[in-house]
Amino acid sequence: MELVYFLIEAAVKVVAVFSVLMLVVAYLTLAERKILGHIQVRYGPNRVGPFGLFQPIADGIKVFFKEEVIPAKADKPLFVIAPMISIVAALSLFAVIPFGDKIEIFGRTVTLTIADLDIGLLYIFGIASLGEYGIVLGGWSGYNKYGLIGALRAAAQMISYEVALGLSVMGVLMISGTLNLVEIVHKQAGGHWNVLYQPFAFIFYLVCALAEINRTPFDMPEADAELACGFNIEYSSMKFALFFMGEYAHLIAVCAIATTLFLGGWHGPFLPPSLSWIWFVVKTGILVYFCIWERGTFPRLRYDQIMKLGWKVLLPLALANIFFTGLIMVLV
Amino acid sequence: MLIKYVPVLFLLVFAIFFAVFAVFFSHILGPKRVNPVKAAPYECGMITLGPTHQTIPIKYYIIAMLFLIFDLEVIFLYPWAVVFRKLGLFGFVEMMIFIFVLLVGFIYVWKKGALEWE
Amino acid sequence: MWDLEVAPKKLKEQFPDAILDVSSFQGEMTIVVKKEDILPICRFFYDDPDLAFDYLTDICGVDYPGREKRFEVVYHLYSMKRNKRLRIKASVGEAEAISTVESVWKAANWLEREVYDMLGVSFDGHSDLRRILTWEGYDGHPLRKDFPLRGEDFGHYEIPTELPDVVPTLPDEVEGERYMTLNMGPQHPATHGVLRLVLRLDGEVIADAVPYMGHLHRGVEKLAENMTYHQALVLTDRLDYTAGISNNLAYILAVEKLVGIEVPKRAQYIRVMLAEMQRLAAHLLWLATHALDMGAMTVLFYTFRERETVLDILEHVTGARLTPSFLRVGGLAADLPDGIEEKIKAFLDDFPRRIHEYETLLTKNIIWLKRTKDVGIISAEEVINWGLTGPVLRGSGVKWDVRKAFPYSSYDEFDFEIPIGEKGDVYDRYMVRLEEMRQSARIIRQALDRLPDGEVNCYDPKVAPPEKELVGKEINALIRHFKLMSEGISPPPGEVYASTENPKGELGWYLMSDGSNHPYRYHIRTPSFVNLAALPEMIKGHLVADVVAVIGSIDIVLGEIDR
Repeated sequence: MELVYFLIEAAVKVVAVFSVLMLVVAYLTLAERKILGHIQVRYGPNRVGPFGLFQPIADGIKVFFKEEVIPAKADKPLFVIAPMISIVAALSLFAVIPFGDKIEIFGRTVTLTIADLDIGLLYIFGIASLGEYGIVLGGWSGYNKYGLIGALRAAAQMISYEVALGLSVMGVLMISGTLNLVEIVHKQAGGHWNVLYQPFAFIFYLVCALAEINRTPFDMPEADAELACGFNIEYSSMKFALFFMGEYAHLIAVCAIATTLFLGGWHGPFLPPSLSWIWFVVKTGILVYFCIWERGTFPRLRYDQIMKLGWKVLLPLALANIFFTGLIMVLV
Repeated sequence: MLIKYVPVLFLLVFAIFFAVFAVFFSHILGPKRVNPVKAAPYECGMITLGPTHQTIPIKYYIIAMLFLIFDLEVIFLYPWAVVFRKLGLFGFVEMMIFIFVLLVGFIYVWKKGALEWE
Repeated sequence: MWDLEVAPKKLKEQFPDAILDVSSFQGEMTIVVKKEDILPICRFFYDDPDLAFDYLTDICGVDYPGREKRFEVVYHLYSMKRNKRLRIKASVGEAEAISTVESVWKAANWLEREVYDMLGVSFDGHSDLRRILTWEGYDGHPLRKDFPLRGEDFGHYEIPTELPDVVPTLPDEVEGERYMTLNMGPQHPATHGVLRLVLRLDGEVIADAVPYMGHLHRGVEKLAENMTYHQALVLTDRLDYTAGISNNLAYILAVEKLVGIEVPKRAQYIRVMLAEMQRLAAHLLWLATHALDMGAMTVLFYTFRERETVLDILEHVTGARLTPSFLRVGGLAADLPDGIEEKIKAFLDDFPRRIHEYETLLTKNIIWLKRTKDVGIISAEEVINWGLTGPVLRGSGVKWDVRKAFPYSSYDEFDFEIPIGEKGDVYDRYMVRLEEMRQSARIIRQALDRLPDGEVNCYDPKVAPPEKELVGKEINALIRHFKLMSEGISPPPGEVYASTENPKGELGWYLMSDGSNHPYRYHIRTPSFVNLAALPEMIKGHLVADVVAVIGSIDIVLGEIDR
């Protein structure tokens, strides 16, 4: 009986997370356009519905009815699968992210996370790496030179930053002593947010995460001014939209992970445990806003500079961070 | 307890279903007016010159190899970091030696110019 | 004062039989030489320390179908040391070739290609003699006088079943498939128009680059040679379409020089003001696109906000935003409208703050510095040898500006600085243009403050129509009006070269009149065309992303490259 309840609970949570996530992704595109519009002294979308609120819906419908063009020389199976990999990987990331404290529903204690895994963080890094295949295969399979260059850039850039990303969270692991994300959040209770103990790691993580999700100033695989949209150059209709949604879902995911690892997850004052998820949403929202804001501010780095930053700056610094964290922990 | 992974599987299935559904329905709903020019690769409006899939410069492979080495290091670091408090000074020194060995290789690669792009 | 008369004298000593004729018209000296000696003569002019014609401004060809030697190749030289221009001409028969001067000035490369393309004059020893504005395999040479002007004169045209081989001439592949050949453009977001670059890539490093243009070729020169002088004015707006009035000005100056008339001071001041406004508009557009190419998209919206104000003012004055055609031979089409001064003043008061705003986004931004510093460096010697002008020239540290060297339209009465860079990289060119905007604002303010009273047209009976009220009252005014409108002006036979400092560089017109009412030769020396020639040199060895940065920093407009 317990097993049945468990499965029902899991199914409900999956459906809930999935629906909310889809809605958030859709409205994140609107939010980005609105915020960028505000930064750039213009309105942003305001034609479809009040304040352009129906814009994402209109975009979604449009995308469904667009012609899908598959280049004659493309590797068709890979070409079709690539965007699916991208979105599936991005959505799967949310399986282990704890959104809030335990709550009681129908006399049952429910954790606000889909799966409370002991290897939560490893799962995240594993799945995030899978997402790269989407971009690399998408660029490669279109049989387009710009796409190919984009794919090569994506491959090199993402694996470079994955190393630095993995190293940057090591300090948090040393302090928390667990890979379980729920546990990591619990350990930050009472205002002991990891960002206070690992400020540099937090900065490294943010930089690496931006590079990992190909956002300005690290949007090399796309680089619209150089590669005319790079890896997704041959994509149209829903497949293009899937890449897009994947990117935004991934953006939310890395911000949510940053909240979990560094900003104390759902912990915060004033709110009862049943509403603690609001803190989580607020913190993640601030980080997402930061990602949009910096897009409106920075120019794009050059490819070699990004690689240099990853290998020559972030990697040694992240190692140094581990060394000093270890040293302090051993001595104190 | 593998049962813990079942919700992950649920989400995975859900996501895959969504992706397939979306692509399939846009395939059904969208118009299909294919012609050879439309199906040609986009290269700024010109006909592609020469082959597209060809030898990939060696630099990318060097990065890939570096990645293998360092990602392995990261994998080793994870369990070490988790039990760091229990290992104490011994574990710390041990791991620093390990990192140092890799670092020597890294500095060698750096000095050799494998991380330069121009 | 150094006299240009020294040049033919010295030449005579060196090459006793080479000179066929020396003449002067409107203060411009023309030396006609034998075509066999053109290369040594050019070399001599370049090397001689006293003359030092280090700068090749332009090469163009003229077709005389009746003559025994049909073509005339015209070289415009400039000596930076002496601040003098010199025109050299050499006649070439239809079956003959003339020696290339590419070894003296690299600028000759593209200019000679254009002569070859347009007239079919071939150049001996040219490194890359291909068509440049029309496509490979094009039949005929458009600027020959017997080339049909209208489509119906062509006869039936059939699309060739076998297209000619247009694969670019890149060096042979050495090691198998090491290089990737990539088309960048014509449909590319960052080539600033329909420029096509064929890149040979080694990974992401550019091994070689070959620009192809002419996608926008409209045959402006051919068209203008069959129009009256006034009709040909409207073609000029469409060259550098970001700076219509500046183009008008260069052309009108050439016609006025040809006719030999003086323009009232008020008209000159308003011309300066409008031209500087147009420079602001062009530079703002440049900054917007340049920053956007590098991924900084917010700058675009900020600069367009100010550009909108500038275009509003221009529209208020001229009635058009893009293609004003507002200048007339002898002055302006109309005086300034009421209430414009306050508008301009308000804009000028606001503008310095706005430039500062752009600078806060870019100038000290570490990413911007990384992208622009030490990218696309071109030295002062190179830049002169390539014949580059405008901010690209000044970015490399050469303090030269047509407004100072040959002050036209009373520019000598204004107080302004010429900003220069040090290294000649993308960043220096960026800083030069930013400072130029500030200087432009300064000039506009001076012009506005010191605007003289009086007419805005000289009403010279030779060129300007009588005032509109008179046309309705007096029969001779009506006749004059009718004659000028239907027949146009007929300048005395002669040839002139006049140029202005456009936002992109030196825009020059070579006008030749045979006494009739339309120009016999109407050649445009466009800055973008000459400046672009140096692009392959500047990007070799850089990465793909730098191509975009360098193209942006040269600031090209395909409208005037392709003409």
